[in-house]
Amino acid sequence: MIRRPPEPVSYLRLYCGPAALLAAILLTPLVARGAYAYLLPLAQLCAIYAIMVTGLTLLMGFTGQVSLGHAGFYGIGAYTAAVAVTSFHSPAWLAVGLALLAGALVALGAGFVVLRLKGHHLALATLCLGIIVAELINRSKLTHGAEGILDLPEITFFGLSKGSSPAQFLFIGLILWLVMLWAVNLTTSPVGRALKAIQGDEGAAAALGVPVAAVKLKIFVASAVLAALAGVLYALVYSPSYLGPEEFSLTLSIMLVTMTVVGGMGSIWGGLAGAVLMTSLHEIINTVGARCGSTDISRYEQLIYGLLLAAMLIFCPKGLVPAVHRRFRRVFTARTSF
Amino acid sequence: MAPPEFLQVQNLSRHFGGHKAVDQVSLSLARGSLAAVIGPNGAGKTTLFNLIAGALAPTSGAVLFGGRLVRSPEGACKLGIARTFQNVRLFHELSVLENVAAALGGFSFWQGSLRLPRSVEADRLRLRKAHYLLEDAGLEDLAGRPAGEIPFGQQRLAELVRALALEPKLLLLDEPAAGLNPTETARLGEFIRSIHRRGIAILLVEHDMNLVMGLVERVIVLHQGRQLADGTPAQVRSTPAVCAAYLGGAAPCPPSKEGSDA
Repeated sequence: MIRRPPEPVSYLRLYCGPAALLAAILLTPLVARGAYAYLLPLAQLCAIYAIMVTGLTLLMGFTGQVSLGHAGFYGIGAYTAAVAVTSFHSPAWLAVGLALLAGALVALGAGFVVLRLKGHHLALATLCLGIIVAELINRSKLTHGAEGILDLPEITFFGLSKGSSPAQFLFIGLILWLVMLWAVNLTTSPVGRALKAIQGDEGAAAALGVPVAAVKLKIFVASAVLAALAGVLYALVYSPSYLGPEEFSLTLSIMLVTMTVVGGMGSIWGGLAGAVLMTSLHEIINTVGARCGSTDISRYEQLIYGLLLAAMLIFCPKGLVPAVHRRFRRVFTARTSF
Repeated sequence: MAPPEFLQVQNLSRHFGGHKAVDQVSLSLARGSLAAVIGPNGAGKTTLFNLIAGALAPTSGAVLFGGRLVRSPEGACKLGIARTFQNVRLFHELSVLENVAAALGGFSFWQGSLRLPRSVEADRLRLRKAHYLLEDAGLEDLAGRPAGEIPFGQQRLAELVRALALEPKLLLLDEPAAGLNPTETARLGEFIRSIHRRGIAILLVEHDMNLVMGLVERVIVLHQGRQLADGTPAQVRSTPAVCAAYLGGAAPCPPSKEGSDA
């Protein structure tokens, strides 16, 4: 065996994934045409969730800090943007800026306190954070409480309007691509090393001069801003006909964690796979239910998610992507050893 | 106060509830020295180490290094104090090489986000340096392996290399020989000597008396959080209070056999 001096991951290898993702994003509108046009809104949702899950993968999978409250940041992003546009008639760019700022500030304040906790305590504290945000949305006059915001106005967004679905998808898709590019860069840099060191052993990381508290806070704020960004895209670009508080409840937080775990905690691509898979699963369950003539299949949806998560944790605890990766590597090394 | 302040521990105490784990300990260490802290189980050795390394805040007293107050692990690291842990604490998510590279900094979020050729080049140098450090310790074959998967003795060595990567002025080793077999212990002794020859001061906690007595020039004895003795190995061995602490009661000291087992 010839030993070469170690090298950082080369640009070529590093950017294979993002290049493939870009191709997939650009091809999606070509595939989702005609009879398959209904796939486009689904693809938009996949991309929106993938942006959030990428943040959670960095926070949970790399840094080891569990958050059960990220739906709260999603809600903060969506509602800040929606309220700014509908109630205060602010231009879109200002609404986006305010939404991201709100997400960042809440994460900064909450993270400063909450990130002193570890493990179960941190999970519970972030859970409370998510519930507080959901309650505030539900009770505030500004957000129209449980009624929700009924008609989000058709806003033009860099020349896009609600009607042009492929353009909307490309807009969300390209933002997802930039987020993935950033995450890939970050995790292969020394920062990625610091994140995993913190996950492994905070005390030992601190003894090596890793600024543990600052790094944890930064990654928490970054993941919250990504969730807020996803919220903005949901409210202003995906533009559901109705923006209600139930969208941003605990259920979504748990769903996001499930996506992160299913795809594979230690891999950025795992998060993407988990988001796409679980979002599609929701559609698949509903479509199959409708085809079978069952009107209340959604009653079993939570059960199916639960079973899936349990099965994943038992059979493939590291998540789908790392498991597949390991299988392939084994095949590969078996071949090369001959 | 003497001008060359290297490590100064001043009236240091740490209480856990009513238990005085470290009680009014004062000591100073000169640049480039090689000393050991010994004592029976529960004497407060590891607590003392955690205090010196900034991992624990003292109840009273202070740790000064180079005249500066040690307040946090990060602060201690910046001042030039590196440490290893009693139960090896490598990062299992990372390879052996990356464990060492993690001590070499570069944690800027902006540079990590952009990953410009300049910062990739800087990281290449970090990885090379980590690789050479591992080569020095004879661990280069294990560089790419996940740190949790290599044999325990080599994990200990890798942790020591990781601490050395910080280029410390003072190295704190908490029971470096625990869990090692006699061959590995002998190799460890040689490695510690070679580190000391490079001018790095070493303070170690150790139960293996053969290693301690043959290696260090100064022994500090702790018992129930208090300093019992401080001197050369020969002096300490003939202190009645030390024998009493180790053997219980007023046991007589065995006759000193200076030089015979060194």
